[in-house]
Amino acid sequence: MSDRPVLETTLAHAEWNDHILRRHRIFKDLLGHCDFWNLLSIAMNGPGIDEAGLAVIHRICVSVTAADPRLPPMKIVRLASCYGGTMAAIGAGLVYQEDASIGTWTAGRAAQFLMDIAAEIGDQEMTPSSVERSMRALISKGAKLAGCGVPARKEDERAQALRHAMVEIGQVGGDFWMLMNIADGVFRKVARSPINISGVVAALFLDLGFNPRQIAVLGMVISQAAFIANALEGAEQAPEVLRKIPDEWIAYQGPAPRPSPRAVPRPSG
Amino acid sequence: MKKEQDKPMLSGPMEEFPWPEKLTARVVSPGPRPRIHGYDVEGDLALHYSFAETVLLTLTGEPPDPVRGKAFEIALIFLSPITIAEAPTHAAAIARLAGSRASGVLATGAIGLSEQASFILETHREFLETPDKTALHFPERFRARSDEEREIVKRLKNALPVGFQFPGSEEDPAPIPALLGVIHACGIKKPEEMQVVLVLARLASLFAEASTTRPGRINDYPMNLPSFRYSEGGNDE
Repeated sequence: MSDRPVLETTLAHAEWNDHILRRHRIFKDLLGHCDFWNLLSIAMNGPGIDEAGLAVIHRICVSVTAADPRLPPMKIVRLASCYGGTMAAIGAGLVYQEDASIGTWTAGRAAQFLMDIAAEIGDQEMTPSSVERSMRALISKGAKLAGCGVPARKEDERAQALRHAMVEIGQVGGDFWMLMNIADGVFRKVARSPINISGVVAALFLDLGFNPRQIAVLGMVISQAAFIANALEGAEQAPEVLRKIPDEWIAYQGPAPRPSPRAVPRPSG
Repeated sequence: MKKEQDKPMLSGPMEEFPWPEKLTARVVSPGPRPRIHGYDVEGDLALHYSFAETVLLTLTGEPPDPVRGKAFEIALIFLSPITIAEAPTHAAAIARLAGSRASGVLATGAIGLSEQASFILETHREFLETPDKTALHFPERFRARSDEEREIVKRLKNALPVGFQFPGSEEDPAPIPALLGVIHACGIKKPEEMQVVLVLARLASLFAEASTTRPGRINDYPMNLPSFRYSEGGNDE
């Protein structure tokens, strides 16, 4: 028999009477001293979050909560919960999201795009023209715009509300916050699209010290009020109409009825 | 069920944007007599085609000829075993061990299979993008690496219908490139459609294997396979 395979981890270890999480003992060091967001950040190898940072995150969580069951991620949750299950419904609403263009993962893409713009600007002064030059240079290299655009309306009300909330608490000095504000104007000029909630969330999390990959996953965490609420109500209702939409509400645009080659009688002789 | 007109009128983008009123079906026709791509499932396909051929028709849009249909069925059979050593079945077995409902075991396994299929296709992207030209440039990493692998491909060729050709068959392919070549030659060209084939082929054996795990018997599970060695590294701030 070959040697037992071993993987390295710096994340956690189950001890007798305690659990280690990234060098911290859960009961001895963290219990009673660590809030949820700092616990999450420790687990993700993210930055420490002070009171001002927590105020930002709490406002992010509230601003992103769009729980209308008709919105795409929530509709998936509703469709997966319509037979009465809850966890699979939340799972279904999340599992599609990696690299998707609609959903919470987009905050990570927006964060990467903002970082790429910042890298493209380099030592130049951050101005509307330098941001536009950088954005156009990235697009010419094949990059896709991220963090802008909103369906069915001209402005993303969530982005506006969150920006207003940051002004109210004075969280307007971060590098990526300033870049995001300039990028909004450039988005409107280049793509005729305003900054959206993903763009604003991305800038705020970047300024808190998270990286794009972490931000993509944090997008899932900050949206959980909407996911959980839809899964719970959806499972509770388990509505017939979602299990199968009545036929009269389906428009068939596929091929017309036809016989298969094996069903067509061969000509005799 | 409440009717829409019973509800108070609310206003918002969901109400006021001109959304379409109907869902669009393009492959399976709704109604009591289902058709796939226009072919009557119950009155035609069930009488004249195997399940494997129906899958092939569903993915390609056209009924296969008997040779392709048989070759596709052989590919499905060769792809079907997935042991507990492989991550999707292993994950499904843990779900079962934890006392999950059958739907939870199946969903866990299906996610694993889907990720596995995506990974396989991503690692064979170079082959899949130009499978018909691979005779000119068949990457070394897609060749068989042992006599055991050569035997698998030999058994595949023996099982395929006489005269059935697939890309890369003469290049000493490893089993997976050979099977992807067979699927491609059957008419399934797009990686995302091949992904369906991989998941479909393996779902039954995954579930059957996972279902033999006894719920709640955590002490019977080899917790240290593999073992994880914790060290205090990282950039904790």
